[in-house]
Amino acid sequence: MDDNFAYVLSANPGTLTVINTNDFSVQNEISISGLDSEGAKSGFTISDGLIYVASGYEGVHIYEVATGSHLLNVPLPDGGGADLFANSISVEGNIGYVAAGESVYLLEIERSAGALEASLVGSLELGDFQSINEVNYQNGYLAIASGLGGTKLIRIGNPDASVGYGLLSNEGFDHRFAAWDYEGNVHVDPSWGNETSAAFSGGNKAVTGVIGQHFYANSGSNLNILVNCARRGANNLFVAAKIELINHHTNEVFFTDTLKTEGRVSGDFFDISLSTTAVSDELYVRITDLTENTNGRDFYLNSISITQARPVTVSRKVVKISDFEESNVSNIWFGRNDGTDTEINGVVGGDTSKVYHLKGTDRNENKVIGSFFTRKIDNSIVLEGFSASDVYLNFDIKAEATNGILYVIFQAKDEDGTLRNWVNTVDLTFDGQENISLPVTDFRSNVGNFNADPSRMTLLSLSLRHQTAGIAHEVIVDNFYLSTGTPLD
Amino acid sequence: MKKLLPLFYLIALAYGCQDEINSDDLQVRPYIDGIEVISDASVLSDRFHERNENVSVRGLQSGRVETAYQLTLVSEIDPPKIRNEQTMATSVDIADGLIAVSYNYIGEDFRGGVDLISRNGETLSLVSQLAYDRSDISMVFLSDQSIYYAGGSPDSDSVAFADAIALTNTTPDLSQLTRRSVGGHLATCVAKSSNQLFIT
Repeated sequence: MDDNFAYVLSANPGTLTVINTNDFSVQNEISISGLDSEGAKSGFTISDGLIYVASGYEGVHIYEVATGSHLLNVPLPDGGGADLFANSISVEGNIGYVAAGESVYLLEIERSAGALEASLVGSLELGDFQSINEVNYQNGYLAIASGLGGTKLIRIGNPDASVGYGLLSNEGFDHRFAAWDYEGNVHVDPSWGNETSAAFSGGNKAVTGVIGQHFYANSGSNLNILVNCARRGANNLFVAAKIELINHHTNEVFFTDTLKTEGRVSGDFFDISLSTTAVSDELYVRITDLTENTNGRDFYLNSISITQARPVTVSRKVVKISDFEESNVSNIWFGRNDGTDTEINGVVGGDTSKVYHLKGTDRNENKVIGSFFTRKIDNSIVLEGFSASDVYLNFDIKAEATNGILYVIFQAKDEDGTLRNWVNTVDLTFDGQENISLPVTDFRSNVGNFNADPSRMTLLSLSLRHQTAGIAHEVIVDNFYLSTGTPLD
Repeated sequence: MKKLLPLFYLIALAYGCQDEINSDDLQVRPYIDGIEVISDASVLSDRFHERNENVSVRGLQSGRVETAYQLTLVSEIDPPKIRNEQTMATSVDIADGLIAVSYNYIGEDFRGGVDLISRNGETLSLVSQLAYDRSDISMVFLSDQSIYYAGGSPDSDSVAFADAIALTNTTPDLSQLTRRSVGGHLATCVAKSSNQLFIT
């Protein structure tokens, strides 16, 4: 319900009736699928111009408010014999929460260039939910009315200083301005921006608009703010906006700056970088258009990101040899192309839970020889909570001869589930023990440079391939770590 | 920070009725039998449990825990017992600094209530409870320092009703209770726009 319209959902047949609250005329009647279960409850929510309906056994149906067009159906997962029934949904930004039976499902929504994609990506594990009647998300909290199970209150995002996020706009910070709070003459139209995400402007109307959003940060952390904006109007005219950061707990403005566009070419978007320190764990960013004379002038806000330094929560030994599944050790040998008179031996030596021995001998000199060990991880290890730039694979290595190459290969599923082999090489031009740290970003995948978000990758196996030309020698790899932060000394 | 573009939320049953009512016409009833406001912290604390436990999200495709999501179960609230019978949570609403939960009872009898939970920063507290001896409460929402809820009661003129109670800080002020009875067996939803209430 807003100031002008009331939306009433009814069933049998499923209909969403839009009523003008000024004269109580029916503005639209949208036919809704799936609402044919007698006596059952179904909820809906409207967000960013879309209607999300918890449509019983059919899962979630998504419609466009303006046209009533059906855009998408997101079915519920297989309930393992139980018929799941969606009866409530709450959406904010690009995340929705769907109540069905004893579970709350996470709905990820992606909108770009007019296309809409949405899928259920997971379910919350909260034990016995009883029967959920309603979910409601607002301002970082998800409230669940779960029948005889009472009420569950869940914080989304973690303001705890020990765990943070890299890019806030990826976590609980909606970069689409249509999802922000705004008042006054703020017009959101993606076509104005140089990105499809958002733009806001005063248009040719009186510019009094204010746009803002609540977000979490780590108190005391340095915040980097990147604003992409543009002006409309001759470059000698005043077109600007004010950006403020506010302590959500006290409502005090602790940071303010002016987004100036003077000297810029009308319609050309450019970046403004700012920085400040978060004064609390809950903040609010507010942007106010300062353009007083609107005749022929607009301030266009295209995008904003706010990032903070991420505290390293795991420093070492996220993965170690003993984490690997011993029974799945596989030794793969390779030799000369003719494969006739090359003898290759690979040995897992010493304490097999800690050490790799890679040893090859070659009866025909000047041939490429090597050994190849692969170990799979018992329970796949998720690379969580850190960015690509500070993940290192570390090895203590001892090579008894020079002129070799150690291939380090780890197999992982990236964020979209694609299975990839990530490869890097170590030039073994040393004798004796050394520590080697390989930044994950330096690895190359089978499809190009490292291009996945490691925070959403799952490490499946590690392979070490030692290759040399014509000289038998041994390489010992000990103490394999995955670490974050600075590489090992 | 007040959200200026709220989500719109209504719930409807398969069978229901719709009434549009000018809220100015609501009659103030200073006292309705069978309603109690409980704000004694020692009583309410028995139902309020702080948890602060991580909540995992299990991937539907992968079957494993998805770590991209940071969720924390902050607290749980047991449904209240009314006349020694357990009620069940039926709806929940969140506004600035306040969370409201409605309760009803499964069975022939009517009993229910509304909880009010305050949020101060990261601290949640169950601050007051409305206990209805003879009313089911189907749905609640918060607006303008008042709580509005829909329900049913044999004490009402026609069973189904919508109540509104102004809050003094976080405590319902029963002297400011207004009630509108509507046709039907049970009111399931109430929403407000300007000075109109919409009841299903």
